[in-house]
Amino acid sequence: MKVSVDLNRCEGYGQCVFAAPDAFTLHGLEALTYVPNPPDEMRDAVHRAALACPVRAITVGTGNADEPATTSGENGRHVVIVGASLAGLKTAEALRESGFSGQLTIIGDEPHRPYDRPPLTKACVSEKLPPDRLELPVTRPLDARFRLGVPATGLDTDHRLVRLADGGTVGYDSLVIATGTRARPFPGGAADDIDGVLTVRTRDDAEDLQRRLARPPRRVVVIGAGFLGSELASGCRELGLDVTLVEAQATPLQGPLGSVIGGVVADLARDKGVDVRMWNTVERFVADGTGALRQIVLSDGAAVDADLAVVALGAQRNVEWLDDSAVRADSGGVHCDDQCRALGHDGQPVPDVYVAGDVAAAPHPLLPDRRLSVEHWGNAVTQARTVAHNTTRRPGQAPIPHTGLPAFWSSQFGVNIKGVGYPGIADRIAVVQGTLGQGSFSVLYGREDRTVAAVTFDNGRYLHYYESLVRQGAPFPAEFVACDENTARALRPVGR
Amino acid sequence: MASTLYRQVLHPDSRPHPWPLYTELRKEAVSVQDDGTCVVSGYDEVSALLRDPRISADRGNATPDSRVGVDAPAPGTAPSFLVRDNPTHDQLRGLAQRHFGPPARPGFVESLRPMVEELIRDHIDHLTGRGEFDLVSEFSHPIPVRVACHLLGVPPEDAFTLAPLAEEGAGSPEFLVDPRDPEAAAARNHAQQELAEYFLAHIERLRKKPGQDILSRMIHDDGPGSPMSLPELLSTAIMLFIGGHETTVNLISSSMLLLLRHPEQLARLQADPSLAAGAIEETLRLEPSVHLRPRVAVDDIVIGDRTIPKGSTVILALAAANRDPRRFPDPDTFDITRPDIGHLSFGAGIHFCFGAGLGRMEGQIAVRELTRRLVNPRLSQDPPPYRPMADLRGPSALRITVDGVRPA
Repeated sequence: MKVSVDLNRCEGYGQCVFAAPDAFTLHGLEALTYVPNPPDEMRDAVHRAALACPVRAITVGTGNADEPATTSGENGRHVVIVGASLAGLKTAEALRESGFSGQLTIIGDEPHRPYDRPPLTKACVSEKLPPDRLELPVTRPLDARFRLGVPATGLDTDHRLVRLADGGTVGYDSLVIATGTRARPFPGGAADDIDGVLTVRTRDDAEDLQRRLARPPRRVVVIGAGFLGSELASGCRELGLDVTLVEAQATPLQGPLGSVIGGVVADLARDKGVDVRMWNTVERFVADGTGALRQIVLSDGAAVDADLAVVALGAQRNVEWLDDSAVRADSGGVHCDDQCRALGHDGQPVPDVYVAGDVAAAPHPLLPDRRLSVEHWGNAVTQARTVAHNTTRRPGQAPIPHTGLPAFWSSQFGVNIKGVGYPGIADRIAVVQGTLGQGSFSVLYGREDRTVAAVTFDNGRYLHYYESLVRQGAPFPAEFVACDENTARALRPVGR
Repeated sequence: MASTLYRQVLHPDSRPHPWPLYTELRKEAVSVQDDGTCVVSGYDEVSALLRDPRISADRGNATPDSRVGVDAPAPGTAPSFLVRDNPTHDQLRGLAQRHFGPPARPGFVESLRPMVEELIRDHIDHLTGRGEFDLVSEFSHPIPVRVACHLLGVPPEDAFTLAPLAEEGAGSPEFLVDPRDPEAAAARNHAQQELAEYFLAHIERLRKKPGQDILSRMIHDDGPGSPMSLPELLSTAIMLFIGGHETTVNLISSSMLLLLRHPEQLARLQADPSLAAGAIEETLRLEPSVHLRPRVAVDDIVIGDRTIPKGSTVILALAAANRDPRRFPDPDTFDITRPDIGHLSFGAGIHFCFGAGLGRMEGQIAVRELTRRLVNPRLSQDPPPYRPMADLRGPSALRITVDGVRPA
């Protein structure tokens, strides 16, 4: 039995915890974690938990490795999905759900079956959720052939072939590009030869980090305070480890949420005992005689003694395999239109090639001159559905546009942060419920006179309303009266 | 006329079969009554309003002429978190939740399972040798009352005094048969006063001699923000006592009513007792224990082509939303294996039912054991008589004929 929870949908009611307290855990007011592979004796309780979920966020299924690959559908259309992570798996599932009966091949560079990535930051600091148990559930047989541990190295759209690292090729009728991203290494190779400087993107990375955290290290330095870095710092504190969080900007999460809200996170981190070093980058790594990390010198001259460092400086899109292909791709991702069709160098759709997940660079719905790639879990899921529909639609059936509003969550330092929309392009914010830094609150983000995003801290049960404001493009500041307003709705710059 | 539709829903004659009225009500996004009350009954609309920051649970926010029969709290008590907005709601609720559920006590409700199973076994044992009985008075009512007593450290023998008071004091007064009837209001106030006096003395007892119950723990809690003030403790205790059983009584009775009306569903459950959870969810959807919830709009709220004016009382018709054909295929069909139920019977948003996890557990064990042990059960009377209130709706009696009772 495999479980996954759509944490965008989850509103923290905890009904699953009441029903199956050994499988689901609530942290603080609304942050949920869960055992992704509960043992068989929990089966009834987990089913009761799934039924009890008021927002239907819990999927109980079988492992995607539980069914043998068959050869049925060999005579039908062949859909090839490059990328065996969330977007790839969800595309396969949505294809079968929509009745696609042709042949399905999923190619992945990692040796593992598709697994859930967001829990990795929790998994590497928890015994309950080992990183090797995060296989994503499927609720129907995929009847797919997996080619795992073999990266794709090239695409020949003329002959409709994907080239593989082992020299093989796979022909397709329709192709879905879902190759995602990889961790951005520390720039300039400065950390390459030092033992104890890691990145965390894959299951193998998380297992390595988990082993090193168990030793335990004297101090962990997390380099980069985005969502990943901030969550990792939080997890390390839960283990009781000394942590230094280094960030080049003024606050954690400044890029995505601005420095006013980032400042709240910085305070949360300090309250939990994190040594927060903003306005800092790493000047150099110092190794001991064996090549192991001993010290990190920061740009302000401070030296931090540490034997473990995690580089969390964002992601790079896996597009190099498309370099000589007809598909247009750059560091921003694979260009696609609003129907998720890959675009060629002339800006026209490449026949029967689609893009889903983190690697997709779609037109920005609000900014005509920009492309948008969304690195959120929920986007991979909704884009997969769009792609599945558009790949297999019957003649006369209209393609559907990908209209999903980006939605994300992050739980760190005991608080559940949820958001919708495009906070990264906002110029101002307004606190509309609660008080910044005091328990639950809600913030709207505006760009010029339009509401473009909303973020809640432990207040996700109200997000539905704010999402409707963002969807409508409501004026900013939105004028409404909230029942629990106890703060002047002061507008302020978002802080960049 | 829309206004008469809602009046018909409130009328006791509609209790057995309000569904056609709800179907009519759903045709309007907002049904505005002649007194200004706004009734909302579509699934998406009710679901959205339950999560809308412009909706208040504090009836004091209504304009004065929109506060029909709203209770003042009994002397010595403060308004409970049921009718408070944030930040007070979260503070008070958190002080109770700390002893009842996650994150602090995630396994507490499950730890009550053996106690609930034993209660249910004993009550079914008691039916042995009977050809006919009233399920409500012999089963659906006593079990949740006993569980609520256990939860709050109330001696079981006091249940006989407290339960009738709870029945009298439960629900929102505007759903009384005649909210403006001074006698009904007086009886209700009297019941609430008596409950307050009982729990005042009870709290003093537990203060001196605490038990393992959650009320003792709340009284003696020295954690952050604790303990609650005495008026808050009182109203929380009364609310948990009433809320802790009134709704579960209806849930157990309604689930058996539905199963006995649908023998093919009963047979499926008997063949696979793990379907009990699905049977309870589908009962909650079709026959929710709480049909109507009152709220107040603190701002003008536009829904479709209608506006709920600021200060209006808003009635969220949960039971109507649960049968909205735009949300549920074949909405009136009872299907215990229905996928994607997602009913609104426990509400949503910050006021989501505090005791849902416990109510579900009691309901699931009750239907599982009743359907396993009663031999050839059937309804002696259909429809059954109903309790008079429109919000807390459920049978006042449910006579069942059986050919025997299997041993446990």
